[in-house]
Amino acid sequence: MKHYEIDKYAHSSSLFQFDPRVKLACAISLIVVTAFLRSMEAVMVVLLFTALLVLFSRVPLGHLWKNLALAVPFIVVPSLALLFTSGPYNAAVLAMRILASVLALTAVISTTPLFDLLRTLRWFRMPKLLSSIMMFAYRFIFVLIDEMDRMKMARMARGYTGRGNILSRDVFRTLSFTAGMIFVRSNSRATRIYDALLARGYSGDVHTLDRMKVRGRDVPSAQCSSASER
Amino acid sequence: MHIPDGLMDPWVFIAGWALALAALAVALVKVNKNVDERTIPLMALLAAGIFVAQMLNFPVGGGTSGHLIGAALAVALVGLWPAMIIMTAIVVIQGLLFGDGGITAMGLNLLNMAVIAPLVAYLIISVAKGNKFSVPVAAWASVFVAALICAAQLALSYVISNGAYGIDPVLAIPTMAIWHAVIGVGEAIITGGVVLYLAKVAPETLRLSPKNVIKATEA
Repeated sequence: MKHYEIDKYAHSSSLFQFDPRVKLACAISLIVVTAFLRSMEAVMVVLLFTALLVLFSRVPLGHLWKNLALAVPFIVVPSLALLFTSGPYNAAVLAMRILASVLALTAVISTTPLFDLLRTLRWFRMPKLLSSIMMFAYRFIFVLIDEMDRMKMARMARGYTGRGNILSRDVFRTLSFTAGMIFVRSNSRATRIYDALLARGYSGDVHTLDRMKVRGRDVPSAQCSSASER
Repeated sequence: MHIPDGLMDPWVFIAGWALALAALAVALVKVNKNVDERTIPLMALLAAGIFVAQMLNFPVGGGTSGHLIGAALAVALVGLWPAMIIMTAIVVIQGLLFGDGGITAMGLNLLNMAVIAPLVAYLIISVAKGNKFSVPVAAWASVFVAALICAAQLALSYVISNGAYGIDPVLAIPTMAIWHAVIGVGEAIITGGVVLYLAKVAPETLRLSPKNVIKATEA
């Protein structure tokens, strides 16, 4: 299942070793600064830096490419639109700006395991309600994707192709029943998962044994990304 | 409708963050007041369910496809404020774990999909209470209005930055409006279908939320 890839490279990457708070803060500040850039030279420097960051992170290119493919329409459509209305310079800068931001974000999120990310967000004062919902939702998502894959196979075995258009009655009946079934099944699953959590002493907060620490080696990474912002 | 980083003018995304955070702070206070230990897993379940339902592509015609946003579905199942929190969790997970939508643009994405879309759906559902078409119409309108506002943000970015950001209003507004008027029909059919299906197959699922979540909506 392809979505299991999300955390797959998180531990093997050399970026994993850095403190998630430093890593996230640096990536966010880099992305924020990039969003303000309007000159070709500055955007090129950032793009070069993020490309090096990606190489250094040793995230496999295949995985990276999949993430980039998702972003391609969001890069191509607006820059084509700008090309015709506002000229090639602005269009090229826009495309490079979006690409650099996507690369920076990809390098960080694919090297940070979910729990580190959530703890970082908690440290940055994200409300507990929201981070708990995110943690549970993330766990449920894979359970539900499994359910959906099984239903997809069953649909296909019964001759469903998914072809048609917005007026195809049968297609939409099948799809809304599928979506409805996702909720029915997930409801009973969630209840069982929650009971299991309670049985293991869950009281609303997740406790972990290792603590987050900023260490010496986090400093150069912070300097590195702030230097590129100048 | 997931806006990436680097596309919007800084002023537009800063305003987006400010508006989204203000609205979500209200939603958090409303939901937190009535939260109990079972609320969190149930809301998470709906978030995961809608997240996965968003992966169901429906055919639009001519080889293109669209997918659900789910804001109206969340409102129909748990009410306005919990729906905002659920949609927020989805948008944040998509942005931070799946790289779908940016960081600077997350404020705008939250504003469009987690604040405006549920709000529009809620207004229509509560105005047309009891009408059997209220849910599909609310679903269509939530998509259409959110898309129009997204187009307006793109257009505004273009205008205030003299063409360095965003998309020209002449292109952005008609294309977004026409495309999402069509996509919205899919959203309407599926949302209506899911609610009908749940009422028939598992009526207890329609009361997924513990009573206090519903109370939080009425407050």
